[in-house]
Amino acid sequence: MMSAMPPRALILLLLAAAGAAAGEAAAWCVREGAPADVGVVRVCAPDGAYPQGAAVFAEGGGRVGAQLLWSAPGEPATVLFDASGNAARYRVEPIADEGGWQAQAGVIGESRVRIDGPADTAAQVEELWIKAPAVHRRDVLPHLFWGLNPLADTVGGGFVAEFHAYFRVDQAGEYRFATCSDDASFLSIDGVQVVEGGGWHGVDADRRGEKSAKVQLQPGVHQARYRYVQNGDNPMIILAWQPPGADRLAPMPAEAFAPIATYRVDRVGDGPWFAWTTVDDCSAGGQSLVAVAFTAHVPDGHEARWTFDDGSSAVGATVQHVFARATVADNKRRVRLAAATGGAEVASCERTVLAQPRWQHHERWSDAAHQRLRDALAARDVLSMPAGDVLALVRYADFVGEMAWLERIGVAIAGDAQRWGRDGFPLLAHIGLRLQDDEVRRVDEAAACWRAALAAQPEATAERETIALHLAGLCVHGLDAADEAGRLMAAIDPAKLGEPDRRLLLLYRGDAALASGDAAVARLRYVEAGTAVPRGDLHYSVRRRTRIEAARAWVQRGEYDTALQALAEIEWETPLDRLGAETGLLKVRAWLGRKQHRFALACCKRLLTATAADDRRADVLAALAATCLAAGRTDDAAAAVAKLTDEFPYSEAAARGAELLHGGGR
Amino acid sequence: MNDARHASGLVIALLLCAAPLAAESENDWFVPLGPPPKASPERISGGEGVPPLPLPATPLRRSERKRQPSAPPLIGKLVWGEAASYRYDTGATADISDWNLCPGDVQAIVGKAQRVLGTAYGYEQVSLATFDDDPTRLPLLFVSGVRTIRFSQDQVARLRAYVQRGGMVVFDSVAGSPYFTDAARAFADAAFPDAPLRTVPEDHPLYHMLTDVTTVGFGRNAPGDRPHMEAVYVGSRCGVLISPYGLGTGWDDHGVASIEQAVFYDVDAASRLGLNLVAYAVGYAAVGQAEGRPELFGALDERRPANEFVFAQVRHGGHWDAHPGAAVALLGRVAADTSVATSRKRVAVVPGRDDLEPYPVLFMTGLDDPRFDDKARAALRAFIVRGGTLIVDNALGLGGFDAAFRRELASILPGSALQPIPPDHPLFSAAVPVREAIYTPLVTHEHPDLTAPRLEGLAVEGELRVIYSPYDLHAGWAGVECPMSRGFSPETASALGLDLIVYALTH
Repeated sequence: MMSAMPPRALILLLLAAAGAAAGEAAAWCVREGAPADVGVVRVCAPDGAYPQGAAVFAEGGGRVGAQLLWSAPGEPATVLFDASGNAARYRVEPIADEGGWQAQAGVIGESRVRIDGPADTAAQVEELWIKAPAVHRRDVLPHLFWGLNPLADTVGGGFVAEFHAYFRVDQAGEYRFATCSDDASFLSIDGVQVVEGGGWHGVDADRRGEKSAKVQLQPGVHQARYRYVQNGDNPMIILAWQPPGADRLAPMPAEAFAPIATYRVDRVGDGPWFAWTTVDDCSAGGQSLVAVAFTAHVPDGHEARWTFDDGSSAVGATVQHVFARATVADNKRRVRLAAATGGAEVASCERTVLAQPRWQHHERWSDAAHQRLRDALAARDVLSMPAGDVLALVRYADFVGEMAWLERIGVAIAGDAQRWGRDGFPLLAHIGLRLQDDEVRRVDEAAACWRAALAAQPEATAERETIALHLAGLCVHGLDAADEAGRLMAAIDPAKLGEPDRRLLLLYRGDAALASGDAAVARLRYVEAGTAVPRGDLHYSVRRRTRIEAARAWVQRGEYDTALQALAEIEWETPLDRLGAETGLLKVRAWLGRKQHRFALACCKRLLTATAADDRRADVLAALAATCLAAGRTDDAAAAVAKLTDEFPYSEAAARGAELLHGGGR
Repeated sequence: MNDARHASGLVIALLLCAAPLAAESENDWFVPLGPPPKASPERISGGEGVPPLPLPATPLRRSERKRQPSAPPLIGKLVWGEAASYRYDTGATADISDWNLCPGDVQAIVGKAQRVLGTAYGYEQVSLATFDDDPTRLPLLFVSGVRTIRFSQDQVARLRAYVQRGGMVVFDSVAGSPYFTDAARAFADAAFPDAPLRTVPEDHPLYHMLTDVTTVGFGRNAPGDRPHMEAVYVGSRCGVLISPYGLGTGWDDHGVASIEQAVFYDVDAASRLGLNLVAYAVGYAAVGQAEGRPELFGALDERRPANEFVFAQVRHGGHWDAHPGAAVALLGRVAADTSVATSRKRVAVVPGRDDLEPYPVLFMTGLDDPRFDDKARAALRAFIVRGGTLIVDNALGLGGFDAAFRRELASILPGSALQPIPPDHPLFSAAVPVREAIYTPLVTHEHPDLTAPRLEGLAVEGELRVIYSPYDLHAGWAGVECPMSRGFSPETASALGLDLIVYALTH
């Protein structure tokens, strides 16, 4: 089933190019657990040591059949070999295998990228399999009973997979086999297609064994080939059987498959080397935190010193390290091990290590794992980490809502925002967004990060112009810095912005004009921005009103974030609402509720400009007085009430304002 | 006996048949409304012999952390009356209550509205004893029933105040019972003695908020094919609304199976009426709160010195005060933006009873037939002939007022008819130049090409003496937004308002 082997000459060439001499990468391994005719060993060899093949030699004997199942940068090479001789040790060498030997035991699977196309028939699935542009991974599996892709992270996307399962039967007779899958699956036994479950479907209709067939089998080892195609998400892969005498179908247990013995490497080459394996992981929102356990092999009496490429180091024969940047697209990490004695390093090796979650581990999210990994990372100084790692950490913390942690990280970054240099732009841009988030509200720190981000990347890229726009918005709405906002927006190249941001630029320009006291210019900008209401949508005004009323209710109930979100959406759709007081006054109340007095004050200021000749100005002045009082600016509050009494002597707002001041003064 | 103060624990046991019953007294209406419960299905023996295959675990994923708060409450369903237990002839029993004969009604219509509006609203049960009568917290109080509901004087006063501050009370005679409808009408009379119940006209926003309801179907005993609702107008809103025909069972996707005389809308009609009702309650909540604000004046405004303009508004036999507060808002603009000295207080005048002599300008509006008597017509005729200007505004832009006013005008000044005022008329630049007008979405939808300000006028001796706005002007003066009404945008309305006052005073 696996890829055809390239010519030997090419292999040797590749091996030479990889720069790893066979001697350096030769691994000695011993069996763990029960013996079996087939063995599997995972070799953490020097980078590039196993480009295309592996040869296995029995200790005290000759070469045995071997098959390099999987080799990729940063991952241990997986080698299957003929262990029927049951030697005490085997030596694995990174040279081309002789071809021809194929393991006939266990369950061996391969997952590939799925291209578009139907999967209704076996021929169509064959085509999807052959035309798949890339292989995710091959591995040995314990069974075929999966609610996930056991071979790769294909969450949210489709894949096509093939599994070869070898099982032994002792009793001749009629065996029933079934597939139950979401989506398509096709099952053949000993090369004969027996069950077809093509097409895009769920598992419900299959659970009573509708897709099954009976096969006469003689004692011995047989092969089941299970082809599977997943369209979208939520894979379900089940191979079930009903041996003679059984009263029902059941998923084939691990014991039904021909066993594979596991071998452990106890030495690689001559120098210091190390092995690694993922021991803990937690994934959320496309990010993963991964703990990798490292085991050093250094000469006796030497100290093992570790250096990780995320700025950390450790000492010890076995250490565990948590990587914050471990996404599928970005998971190759450099790890260096040095053997030291008497305080001096005498030898070292460096490897690429793939920091990735355990795909067969169905708990992508576990509170306990999250806490363990978070605690390990929270103790780390983010200022010593590369920007990319901190960015991954921030994205993870953001998704899982660890806002206190996020705030600590953000404040630390903002405190030394200039240190990150050019590579820091994505981090500074992103952490700025989170710092000014509803739940963090560190606007000064957000502004510091964004200013540093803009300085770090002077060229006008789409991302940079977007951040400049965000900073300008913050200046207008929360920092009382309309001048800085004006300068920023004047320098923004609208052509670099996407359509929504171009419109946002107009709105912010209008807001800045309002903040500067120019309602006419603000109106021009808002009109220029236009509405986002579909033409001819007669009932939009009704829906808009219902949303305003919902926002009002949320403000009353203290659901300020939801209210502000709804109001922002309304003002986005109908920008001229920014000149009315209804949505604005609700925003002021929400900001007051969130104790964001600067935002409330800035909004009052804009509303005063907008409602200069409006009956609602009285309400705006009352809101201004309330805001000033809440912010502790009693004199400004008194001035607002005085203005209110002067302009609207008999209004309810004036009475309210005076009462507020009186109450606040007491 | 069915006091609205609380639901009593009184239990009545009656024997009911599954077939519809003829109701002879109001207690005969007090029965379960839905179909009788089906007998429990017998256990099927044997069943599926093969147990299904187990399924493997699927990955546990962290979901999005953002949580949506619970929906704000929109409708409070009033708990009132008595509870009873009934036994069907099948032996099944059902517990029913006066207030909750259709338990799923409010929940169902709120769910349907969410699917259309995209905004979730909640509902709650409300006892008048603990009713938080703040309309900003609960805009709609829903009362459902079949028997007579009675309110104490204190309860009437509280509900009146709730409605005046912007709340809305809706009575659903859920099976079309005359007893409940009459009790609702009695409440309306008691709460608003000076505002009679009016039949809601077909072009009222209530019937068009989200879907046009012009013809309807009934489940049984159809009284016609038109919707029928009665309302007490409070400001421009329906403050109290009575549906003499059942809505609730249709909201809950069933009918009234048990009463022969029941009159109720079918599921489609009830649902469309209900959607509009929900949208209306939310859409006009801000209008109600704005119009419910007291009009405050100072001592100077009360004194009305002779050199100040006084805003006089005609009080007629129809609903004359459509947008309370609008005039005061406009007068604020007049004082701030023009040189006209004005009192902030408007004065209501009854033509034929009050002296119209002191007023150069009269303002008149309405939602329905103004119903002048001959004395009033004569007084208005005299006012116009001696040089006064009558400014008339069709609140909400309803057809009923439009037709009635044109009829009255023909009767006040026989042989005359309103003519469109050309856009280049000096009126449109008397204070603020208005070359283009912005209308409410409904007007724009019906007249996509209408961009000029549309007013009509009647000239007497070459002077405009009657100015009529077929579209609502003064809602815009107050800045309130009346969804699905025919009117001007607040900005255009304010500008035209200034023009009208200044023009009338200077010509």
